[in-house]
Amino acid sequence: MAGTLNQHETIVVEELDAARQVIEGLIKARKVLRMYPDTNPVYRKNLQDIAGKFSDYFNSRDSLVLRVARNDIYVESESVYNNTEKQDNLALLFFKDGIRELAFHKDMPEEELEEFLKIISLEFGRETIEDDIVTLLWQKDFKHINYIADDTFLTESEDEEINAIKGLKQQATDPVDLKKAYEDSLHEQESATSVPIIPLTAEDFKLLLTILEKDSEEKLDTFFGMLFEILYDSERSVNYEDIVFFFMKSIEYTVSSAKFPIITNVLVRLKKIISDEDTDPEMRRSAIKILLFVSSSKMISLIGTILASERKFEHSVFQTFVRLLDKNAVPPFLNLLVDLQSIHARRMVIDALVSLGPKDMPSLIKGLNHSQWYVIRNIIYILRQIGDKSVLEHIAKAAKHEDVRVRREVLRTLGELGDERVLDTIKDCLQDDDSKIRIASLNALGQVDSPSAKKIVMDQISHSSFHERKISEKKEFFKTLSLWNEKDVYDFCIQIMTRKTFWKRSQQHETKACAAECLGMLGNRDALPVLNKCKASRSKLLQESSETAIKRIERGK
Amino acid sequence: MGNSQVIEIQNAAGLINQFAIILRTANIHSTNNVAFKSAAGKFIEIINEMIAHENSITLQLRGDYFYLNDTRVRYAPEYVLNFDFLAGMFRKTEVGAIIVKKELSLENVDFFIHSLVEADFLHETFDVLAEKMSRVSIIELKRLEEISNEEDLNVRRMVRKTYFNSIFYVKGVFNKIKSGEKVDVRKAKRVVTSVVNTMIEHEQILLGMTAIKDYDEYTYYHCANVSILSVALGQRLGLNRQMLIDLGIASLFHDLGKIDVPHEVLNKPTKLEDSDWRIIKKHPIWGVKSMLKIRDIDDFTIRAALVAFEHHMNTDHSGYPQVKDRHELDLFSRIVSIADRYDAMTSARVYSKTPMKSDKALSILMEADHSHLDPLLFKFFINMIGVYPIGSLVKLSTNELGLVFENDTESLFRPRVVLISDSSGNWIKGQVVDLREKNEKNEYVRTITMTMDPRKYNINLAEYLL
Repeated sequence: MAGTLNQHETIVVEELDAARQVIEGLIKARKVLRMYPDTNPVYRKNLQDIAGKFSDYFNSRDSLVLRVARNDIYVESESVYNNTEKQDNLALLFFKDGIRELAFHKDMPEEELEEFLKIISLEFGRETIEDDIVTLLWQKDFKHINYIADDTFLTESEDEEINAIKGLKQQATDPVDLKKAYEDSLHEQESATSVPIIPLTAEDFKLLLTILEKDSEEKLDTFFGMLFEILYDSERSVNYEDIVFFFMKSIEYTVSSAKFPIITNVLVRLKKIISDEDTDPEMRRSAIKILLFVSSSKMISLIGTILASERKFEHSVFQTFVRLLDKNAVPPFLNLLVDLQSIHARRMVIDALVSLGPKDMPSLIKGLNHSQWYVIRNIIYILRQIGDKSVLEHIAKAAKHEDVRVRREVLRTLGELGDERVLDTIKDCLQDDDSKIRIASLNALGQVDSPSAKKIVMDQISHSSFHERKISEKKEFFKTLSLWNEKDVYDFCIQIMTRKTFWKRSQQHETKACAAECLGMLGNRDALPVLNKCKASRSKLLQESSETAIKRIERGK
Repeated sequence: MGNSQVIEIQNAAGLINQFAIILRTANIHSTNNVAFKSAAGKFIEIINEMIAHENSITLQLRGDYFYLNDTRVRYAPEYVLNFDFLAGMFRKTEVGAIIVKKELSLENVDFFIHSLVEADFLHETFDVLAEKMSRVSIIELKRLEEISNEEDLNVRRMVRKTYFNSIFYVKGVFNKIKSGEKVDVRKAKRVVTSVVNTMIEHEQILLGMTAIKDYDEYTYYHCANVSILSVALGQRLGLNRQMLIDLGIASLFHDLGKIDVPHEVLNKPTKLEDSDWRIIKKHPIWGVKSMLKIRDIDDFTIRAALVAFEHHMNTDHSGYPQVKDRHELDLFSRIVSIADRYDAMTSARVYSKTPMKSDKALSILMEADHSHLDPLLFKFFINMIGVYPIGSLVKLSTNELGLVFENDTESLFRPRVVLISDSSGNWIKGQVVDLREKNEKNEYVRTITMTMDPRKYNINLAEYLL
């Protein structure tokens, strides 16, 4: 390349300085890239800086060629870097993997430089990094960065190769044998070819493309298929302990890749092995061990990480997988309710517990004593979705929870699932300090839909303290009462409407107005005379309520 | 080792393809024909765009590959027939390189293509063609040159190093696993990267190394040979670099399970009993076990384990291990399976000291290909190994004996041969001759008249091929 330094040219001081600047830039960039994400302004600024330093060098030369020694980096014969420490030694970083020369060329795009910096910023001391610098550079196949690497370190010693060749060549061909071959060749019938070469056709290449395309498909299913085959053969080939371990490792990998359909297939196959009467007892025990592992706290915690990462996978697929888990998955899933923050992730866990919960109700019930209000609320929701009435009494205990959101969830659940047993709890909540809870209690009573519930509502309305309640709450009482479209309710309302009022008239009128609305909702035309009479009341509220109720009855709504 | 120079110049493969198209078109139509003009127009468009960016373009044929401005052009499977056609045209006209110095006009291309087609048709020498082309100053032709001996030797040395590195690495892995030590996967990647690089640049030389078998250290040589043959086949199939690396490592480890086969069974000098076979047949499963013990699960481990498990399974699910649920064998397994069988059949073993001739092995494999091996992959494999696999003992029309040294995909019947005896049967020190060489009467100097088995005459291939 034009402008590249040749042996006869002498590098000038300015160029050496520019090269040193590049080296310093590389050292700094390694630190910055390790500390900041690529979106961070510091990271971007650093990248621009180092690109600028390369540009400075390329102003005078087309290529920067760095020769790498153990503790030094040279440009030509001039050292531009020296470090005798083992830590953070840039020269050693390249040298230990066999790199002996690195060349950067003019017009190197910033993207290429960034990729290069990312490679040299890796923590190569970690076992998880399976590639060395040379392999990574090779994979990137940079167009403006070349390297020369020495592979001699791959063999224990140079002698190894020499000895091997010596050994292979030891038994030299005997000229007598050769003469024999020659003589035979003169006597044998000549036949030049024995391998028919079939030329490759365009059709072959078309078929090849199909094969290559197919090769990109998921291989995990086949891999698990292989593990199952080994499990079937374990008695003879591999001990069960090993194969269980392999399954566990593979399942962990699959879950961490969020490939739930694959794990689901594995679980189905394991369950089949377990339920098959002809299964060898040791194989069954192994299958159970694997199955339990999938439901272990380690795996559920891993699932939590996946959920928290908001990786995309189908909700229904995840739920199908969850349904196959064992009951020991319930407590760790409950822990996820504490740890996970995102609504989407929590939703997935809640749905999972709705599926799984029936396998371990005691753990769910135990969770009702959790210190976090939101966990309790979620568990109550889960219990409600499960719909098992046997846990009602446990839920009822949470009706006194200090957090109003928990109490409301309890009342909703008691309403949906409740029966006579929980009426006292609901009734107590009618006296709650929070009006939302009182209203939730009323809704619950309405949902329980029993004579006793109705009686509670009517008793509350009949109680002298009822007048003290706000009009909005009074309305809720009557609205609830209207759910029982029965004669005693009608009579009860008529009785209120026709009751003489002597004191606290405005409060009494409020109650009457609510009763009027209730009559409207009941839709009984017999109430019309009473309502018409109240229409003439001096209370505007009563007038309006009666009028609305009349219209409602007349329109048959 | 430098970066593997596989081309990224936009549309380089497209240029070669289009070049072949206009040559093919010119063989059928006159240069005035619309079809020719249309094809030439497209060619001009591509090359002029490159010249605008690169200043000048040098298209060179080195061995079996094209290089554009010193960077190897990777061929896509859909272009391979046209690549081969163009390489053939270069060889027939002895053109080694075409240098285009400025943007081309239709007139330039018309003249050049016409001259090239005429040179091929009339069997003109390169000098006549070059003389004609001297009229178009912006196109310069260079003669196809053989690699100089010194360069050849250096390349062979480098290839040999790569070959032995992989053998020593396998040996090290086997020993480490036996003694319960950790296996260095980074090193495996470096070893195989080197194999892949060498394969890209010097496929035939590296393939030639696999003809050398070591009777005493069969397992290690076998693993390395299978890896090289697999990577070579993978390259022919157009696998990308990363896939070639994965294939190379997976095939290097395909026989890991043999570590658990007792030494006395593995090296039994007599015919194997049923009880021995029962043990041998477990090695695919034991291979999976070893693989999963030394590595965490990831995409590579999955493939490598599948290769270890499936490499003795046939496409019709005969072979071993027998499985309950049938599935299609993995592509890597199908590749390794071919390489494994071919190398095993052509190697001397403790229980079978006379290995098969390559062509005999290929014939046997071919007979069973539809039920045992993937027929398409096997077709590619046969084409790769060639009519005269490297190491074949051949008698020439001159009565000289030689060993096939290097194949040429264009001239399958005319490989380079290292002579081992003169026309009177006397031993001679390996001179390498090219069977494409012609005399002044335009006749081939040497032609293969017979293939023979080098092992039958105790000819040590290492002596000549290393």
